[in-house]
Amino acid sequence: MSLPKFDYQAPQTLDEAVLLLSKAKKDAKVIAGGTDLVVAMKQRRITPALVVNIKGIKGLEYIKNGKGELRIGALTPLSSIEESELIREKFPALAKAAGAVGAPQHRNAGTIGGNICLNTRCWYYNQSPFFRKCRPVCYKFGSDKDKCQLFPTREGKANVCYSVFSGDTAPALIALGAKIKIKGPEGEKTIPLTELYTGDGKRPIALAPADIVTEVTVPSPPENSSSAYMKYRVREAIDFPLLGVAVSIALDAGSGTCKNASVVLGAVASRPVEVTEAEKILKGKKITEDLIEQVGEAAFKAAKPLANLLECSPQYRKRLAKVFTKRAIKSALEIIKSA
Amino acid sequence: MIKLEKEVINVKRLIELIVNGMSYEIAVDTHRTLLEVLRDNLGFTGTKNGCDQGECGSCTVLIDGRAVHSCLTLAMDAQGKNIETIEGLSEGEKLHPIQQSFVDHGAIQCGFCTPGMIMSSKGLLDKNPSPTEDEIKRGISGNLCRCTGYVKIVDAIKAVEGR
Ligand SMILES: Cc1cc2nc3c(=O)[nH]c(=O)nc-3n(C[C@H](O)[C@H](O)[C@H](O)COP(=O)(O)OP(=O)(O)OC[C@H]3O[C@@H](n4cnc5c(N)ncnc54)[C@H](O)[C@@H]3O)c2cc1C
Ligand code: SF4
Ligand code: FES
Ligand code: FES
Repeated sequence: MSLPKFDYQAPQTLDEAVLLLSKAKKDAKVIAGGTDLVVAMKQRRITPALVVNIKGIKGLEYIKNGKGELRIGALTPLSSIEESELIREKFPALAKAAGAVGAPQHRNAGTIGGNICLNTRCWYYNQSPFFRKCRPVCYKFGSDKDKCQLFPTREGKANVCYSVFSGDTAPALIALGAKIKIKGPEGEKTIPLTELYTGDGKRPIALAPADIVTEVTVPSPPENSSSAYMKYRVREAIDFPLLGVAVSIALDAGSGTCKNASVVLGAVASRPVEVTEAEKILKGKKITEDLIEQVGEAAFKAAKPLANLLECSPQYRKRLAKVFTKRAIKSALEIIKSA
Repeated sequence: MIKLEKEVINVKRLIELIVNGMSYEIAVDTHRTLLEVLRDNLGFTGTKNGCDQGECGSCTVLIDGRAVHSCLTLAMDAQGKNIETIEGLSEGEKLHPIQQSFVDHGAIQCGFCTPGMIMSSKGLLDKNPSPTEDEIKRGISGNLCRCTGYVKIVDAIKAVEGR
């Protein structure tokens, strides 16, 4: 399947890239590793007039252990993150999540910036043009008047798109309290990663057309803490997650009670879902089997998967959210214990 | 009906690609993938086109030593990088140790997946000369083979001489 035609630019600096993007308005797309965008373009889901390759911009590929935080350049390949000794040791959830993306080829080409800016997916939308040609255009792909083909709303009601956010690293990064740096026409800003996600399947990523993510920062974990990421997919490689669960836990050194806890679910909604109950249940308490069960229950309630991925039922994914949450908590506690 | 194409002028550019250590200067349309250019413009048809969507791994080449899908790489993005394809492995009639091991172990049946499989193996072995069985399986996990059942491929990679 050949690509649609487009104009191509490879700026050498960030300023140049932002300028090119703002001039082209909505009709331009950033390409980093291209492992998501090229498929979307081949399938004619996205057909930009201009493609701006940002890989030529120097100084955006690094993993640095800074003052109280880990800094990762947006162009850093996922395989470098997966292989980094520092990240494996201090941020196991992130190393696991990066290593669980697609196959080695996706991780070699795919960048962390591209992974967090991943488009949402659904079985109706992520198809070849041949498949889609004989069916109505859906709300996400078409105009605001076109209906969602999986979950059509009643006449007169506003459309909603429930496509799934299927990135692996975002839940892990959010559980670890990550922030991102964005460069745009108005300058630079830093936002918590969780604010990058709108929850609206039609426009899932809260970036203006000329915004470029330049860096991901993760606060250094306190003593006596750890994290874990678990992913469910049918094959052990290549497949996108049907469920992802990221957990990060810090214990008090003296009493062994829970100081902080964060549980974030992936692939159950149009954005990563934070299980806010988890911290309420665990904070200040000694983590027991019973409390872990309660957090699992909270994750079950927070997960609201729909029948928009083909490989398994939403009921199964919802129940699995509980099982994986419990396992991920135990795995993080295990790492703290063994340290 | 969905609109499939936008009216964009055809943009040809002159680019330099370094394939197996040789430099090629060619005019390509900006929307061509590295796979298309390797096969159609430069005649390196050893690199196969299976799914064209990053699912099967048959188009795997090494770019700066790392295995990537040439079907998801824009030719424009590969400028100035060191591209290795299956054609670059043997020296004349003498097969590369990985190729020889694949032959010796019967790790090739129809052969369609083989170039991609060997390039993934090379990417792995160049970095990690003595991988465990698990590391081998992970290393080729992006390459689908419909014939061999993988066992012989894993055996072949394990047995590569001088690894
Ligand atoms: C077969 C297959 C399986 C896959 N499996 C998985 C999986 O299991 N888990 C998973 O998470 N992903 C998966 N992916 C998707 C993809 O490979 C990864 O998410 C990858 O990390 C994307 O990064 P990239 O650099 O290639 O992004 P690109 O394709 O270059 O970009 C993706 C999107 O992000 C935007 N973008 C990229 N960089 C920036 C930036 N710095 N600032 C602003 N916007 C930016 C682009 O405009 C584009 O919209 C899979 C893809 C395929 C084809
Ligand atoms: S869920 Fe979104 S992408 Fe899927 S059919 Fe509905 S509108 Fe389209
Ligand atoms: S042809 Fe590139 S992965 Fe299948
Ligand atoms: S030998 Fe036929 S696909 Fe692998």
